[in-house]
Amino acid sequence: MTTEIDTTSDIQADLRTEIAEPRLTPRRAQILWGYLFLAPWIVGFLVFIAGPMLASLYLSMTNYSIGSDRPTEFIGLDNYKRMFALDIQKGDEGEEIVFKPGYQEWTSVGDYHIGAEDHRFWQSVEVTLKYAVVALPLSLALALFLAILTNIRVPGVTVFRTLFYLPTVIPAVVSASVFLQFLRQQDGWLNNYALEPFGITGPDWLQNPEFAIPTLTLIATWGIGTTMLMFLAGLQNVPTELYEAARVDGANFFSRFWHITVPMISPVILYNLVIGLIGTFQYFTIAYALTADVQMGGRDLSMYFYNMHVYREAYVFFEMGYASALAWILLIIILIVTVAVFRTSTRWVYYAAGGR
Amino acid sequence: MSKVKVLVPVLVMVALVALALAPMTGDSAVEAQEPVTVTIFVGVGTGYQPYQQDAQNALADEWNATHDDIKVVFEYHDNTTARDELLTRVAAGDPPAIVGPAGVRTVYEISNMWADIGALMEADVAEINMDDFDAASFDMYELGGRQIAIPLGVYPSFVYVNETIFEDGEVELPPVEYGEWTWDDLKEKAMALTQDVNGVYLGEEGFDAANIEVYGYFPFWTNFRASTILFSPEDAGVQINDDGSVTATFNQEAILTASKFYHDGIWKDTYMPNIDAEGAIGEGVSNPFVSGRVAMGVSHTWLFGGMKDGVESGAFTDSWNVYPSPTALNGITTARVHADTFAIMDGFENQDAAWQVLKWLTSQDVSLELCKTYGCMPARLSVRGDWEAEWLEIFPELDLDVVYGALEYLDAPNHEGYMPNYARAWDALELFWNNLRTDPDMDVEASLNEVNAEVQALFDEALAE
Amino acid sequence: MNRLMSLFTNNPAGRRGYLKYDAYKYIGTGMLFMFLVLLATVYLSPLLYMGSTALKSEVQLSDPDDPIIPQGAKTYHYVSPDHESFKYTYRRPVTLEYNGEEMPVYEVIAQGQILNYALVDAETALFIDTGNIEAGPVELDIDISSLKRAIERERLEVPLYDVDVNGETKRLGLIEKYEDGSTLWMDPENINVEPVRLPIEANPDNLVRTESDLRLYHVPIDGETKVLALLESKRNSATFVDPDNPEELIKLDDIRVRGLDSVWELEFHPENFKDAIDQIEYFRLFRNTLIMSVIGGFGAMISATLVAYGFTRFNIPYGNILFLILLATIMLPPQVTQIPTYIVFREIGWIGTLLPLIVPHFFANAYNVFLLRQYMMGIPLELDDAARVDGANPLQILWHVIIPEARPAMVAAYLFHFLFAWNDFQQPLIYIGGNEDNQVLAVGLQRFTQIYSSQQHLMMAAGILTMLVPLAVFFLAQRIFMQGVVITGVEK
Repeated sequence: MTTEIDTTSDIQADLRTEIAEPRLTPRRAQILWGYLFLAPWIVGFLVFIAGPMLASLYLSMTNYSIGSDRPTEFIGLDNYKRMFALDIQKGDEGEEIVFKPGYQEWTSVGDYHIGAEDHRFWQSVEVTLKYAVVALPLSLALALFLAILTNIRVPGVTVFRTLFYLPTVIPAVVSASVFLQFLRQQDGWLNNYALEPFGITGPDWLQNPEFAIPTLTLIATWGIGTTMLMFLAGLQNVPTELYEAARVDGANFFSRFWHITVPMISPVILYNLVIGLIGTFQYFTIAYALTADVQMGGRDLSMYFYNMHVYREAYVFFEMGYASALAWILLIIILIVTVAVFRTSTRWVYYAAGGR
Repeated sequence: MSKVKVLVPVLVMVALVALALAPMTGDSAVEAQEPVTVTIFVGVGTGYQPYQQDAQNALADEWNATHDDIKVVFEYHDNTTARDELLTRVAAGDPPAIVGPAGVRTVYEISNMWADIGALMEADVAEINMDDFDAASFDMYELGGRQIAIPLGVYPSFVYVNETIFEDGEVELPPVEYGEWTWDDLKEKAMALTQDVNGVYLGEEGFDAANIEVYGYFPFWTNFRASTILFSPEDAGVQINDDGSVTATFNQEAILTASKFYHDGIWKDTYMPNIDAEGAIGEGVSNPFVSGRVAMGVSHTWLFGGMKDGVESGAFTDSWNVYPSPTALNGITTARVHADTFAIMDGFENQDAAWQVLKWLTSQDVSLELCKTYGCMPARLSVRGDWEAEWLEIFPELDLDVVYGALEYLDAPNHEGYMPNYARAWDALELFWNNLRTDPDMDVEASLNEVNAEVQALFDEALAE
Repeated sequence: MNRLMSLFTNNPAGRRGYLKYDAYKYIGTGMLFMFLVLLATVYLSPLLYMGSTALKSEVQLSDPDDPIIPQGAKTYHYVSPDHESFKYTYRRPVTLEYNGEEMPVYEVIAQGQILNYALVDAETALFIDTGNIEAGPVELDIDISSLKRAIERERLEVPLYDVDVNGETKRLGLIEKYEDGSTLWMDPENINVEPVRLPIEANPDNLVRTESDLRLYHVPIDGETKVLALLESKRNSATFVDPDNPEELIKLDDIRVRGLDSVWELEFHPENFKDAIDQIEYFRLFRNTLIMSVIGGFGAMISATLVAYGFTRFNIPYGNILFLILLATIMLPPQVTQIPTYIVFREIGWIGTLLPLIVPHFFANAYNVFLLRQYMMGIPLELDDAARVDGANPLQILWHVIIPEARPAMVAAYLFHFLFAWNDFQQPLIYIGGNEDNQVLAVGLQRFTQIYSSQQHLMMAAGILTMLVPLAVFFLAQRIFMQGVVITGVEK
């Protein structure tokens, strides 16, 4: 076999080796090797994942409802139409707004009132996006900060690393319960021991709709151990020589951080960003555990996330067909955002093995 | 060389598929000689507590020791997730044989999944001994002409009173006969007993409403329909007309009065806890009443078990008893009741085996044992004396006249009774109830009218299909 | 180490022995250390809540003045001069006087009603309806042995005595004194047992005195604070016992007991952990969880390494599309694939076993493949090329070049999966179903927290117990992190 195979110049390589081994060209061998390594996933995908995914796609175009007497019918895109159906009415203040039958007000912009056939869908989109915009950047930044701190060798750094990672291993049911107690207005630790000594009357973190997103963000910043871990693994791989060279050039800490650390760990940033996006769009457990006992989604549905809507339609109202449609719209939304992130990533992610 | 290169990936893939599918061939060869397994799915209601599991398993062992053809297995699920599990299995065509103990609400919410046992009951009428039941108790389980269950037990409710708080507060205890006090009387006593952390009573100078220690009244573990039924609304808010249509009357006078009673009680008069305070009261205890911070609360016979826990753990040292439900404005007294039973799933293939087990579950001895562990009063009249003696051993002072007296004032139709579009209508009402308990500025009357219209629309939508 | 520190203190590296540099170094390290301690304390305060709560008692938690650390309210054992009495409901069997004779009354159930009939003659099954005596005896076709006696309930309060019965001292309640000097007694431990008549008189010396554990409070009296035991409280007043002088009661007017501070003393309840272990059946669930997480973790790590290697080092047609499909598999909310997936596992007979929780992870999942892909793309191609020059095939390159370089990421992937598997409860819940033998900790914990949702002390103890292994695994794994770096020669 020749030695100059380079993934960036496959055609050249093909040409050069065609003559040497006519039956199995290196290009083909390479593809075969590639599929061999991909085989575990492809098999697993076909056996365990593809079927259920396609089944839910099909269900999304039916009116299937578990245990209902109603016959299941193929209804095309009706579920998707119901989701997006809006009715916008102009109405002055004090005037009563009448929407189409079955429509309920979702929100209003100025004099315009927006009614929707499934106003909870829009509400859940709104809450989820708000949360994504606030919580995701904050927890990424904090995770990176902690990773950098614990990448410096101070005494007991392994212990600190474990401590910062610790909240991640707390099971969600338990941490939800901890925060229910911790954030209580009347006698929770936060209001009682952290704010009251400074003369601040703590808010009702859990019931006040205005604090819904801040409270959940606060909780989210507590569970960033895995993200921190990924950053740490990335930081471990930055060659020290680069810092040496920069230091010789007189670069200060922030300059080194910006020009060496960030580019070198940019693949990890991309990873954490994409995984974070997927996780944020599918956010469910904590908000559910915090609000399920009272009313799923909290007061004024201020903690009503997209996946709660999916769950509610599927398991509270048994509308599996509609829930599947909701789920596929979520997949499409996440996919679009992810592809967009990947498109921009060619500009800011540095791969030593060459970008692809 | 190159053939090997092609072969290797193919072989590896075949091996992987074989590995993935291997156990399939192993398991399918189970012989048909085995007894029919009747699985009882526990968890949609009570029944999953550890001591309950022990009692139920002991019963199953008894059955299995004497039967070769049918094997009984109690399967335990956790209350918050049981429904998801059940629905997954039903949808996947793998339903359990029997579900229970299930309350009225569960029965109605998944009403299409139950088998009709009417014909089976007809055939075994002597064995069941229908005489042993209050005739009306069967009606609750008749859905659209189908009989889906035999009654197992009922949980009547009363006012649980912390007598120590009354004594310390020098307030006269409620009357012990039904029909002798009203909700206004209850409110008056509750306000006289509400006390802040400094021991200052409500209405006294310096009372700190933000830090209340003792609440006069706390209707815990409840929901919209359960809370408002106590004010004796007509038709429990669901008026079924002769033409088959259904009118939502949740904005009727009695329910409006009830809603205002709760909203004022929480936000204006502050003798009832808001949700934040509910959390503080519930901290560390198996039920809010044993916190010693609640003077009065309405609950059911199922709280007997919780009281036992609270007393045994040492958390509750006050003296307590049960008192009659107050009378509503319209002169009617309502003692809210819950009921539990077991029902066979429609999709289970061996209906006859399931029926044998269902008969056994609701037989005299077994239903008594089950009711002892669930806290229900047995539906079978013949075993009520044994049930009563059991509880007196634990609470020698328990006022059983109040307990039995409640049976005269049960809510019919039941507060969990039929509604079209059940799950969605229930959910809409709960949203109103939650807002009432979290929003101090709510316009109760307007919101109630709004939710009633919403529920009416849900009724109409379901009946139009 | 020095060089790394200088990264932070912005000092030229490598000038060992330079005094000023060392001083900077130690001050910098010290400040950083202090900062980390502070940060950790704030960050972990909810965790302190967990630890503290797990050691508290139910009595403390339910107290509104519940202190932050585990403590118990101090009490004083008080023997009062008063006598103890016992209140109970006496279930007296009903009799009917008929023709001068006492007839036992039985419950007869007919048409959903309980009717009371007195038995006149057992042999002929003659009964009298107690509600209609005039009608005279009637014959009932009924099995008398199956009937239960009708009872009437009477609420009684009886004084308690320590009574000598056959040489044994028993605590009994006195119901009645008869003229002939005999007495009727009941046993408070068995109130449903018929009372017994004893040929003895009730001796007032044997009356039981009331004993109780009274809670101690700091009570302000005349400008000073005394520790007193609360005997009785009223709306505006209270009666206390002074432990130093229990004979004399102190009655205070104008005092609010709920405003007083109780006396607390340190008290830990490690038995909460034992309760949690017993209730969850910790060790059986622990074994299952460990099997599932360890094996699944290896599967996830190895398969993801292979697949990520395939994606990064081989120019596969439609590779990007395949990669997007891979990512899309984790974008669909699991709620809607749960039922079809259940059907798949049921068809291959895996429901009720640990297999659905282990085997699929041997087929790579998107989280880990993506992670390793990102790392492998950061490994320079020159390293592969160098190996290829030496005649290495792709497997050898993976083994000798890629794996050593990607070790931190592989460990991260393992940890990622281990932790996910350890705490995931939705999948075990559905796929293990009711098979308790294969149950895992997360489901056990979920049930436990459901049962004890308001008994935080037990819940927190259980939570801490389930965290121990993932923490230990993380603590050990991060050492491999460091090792990996040293081995590949990128010395820090």
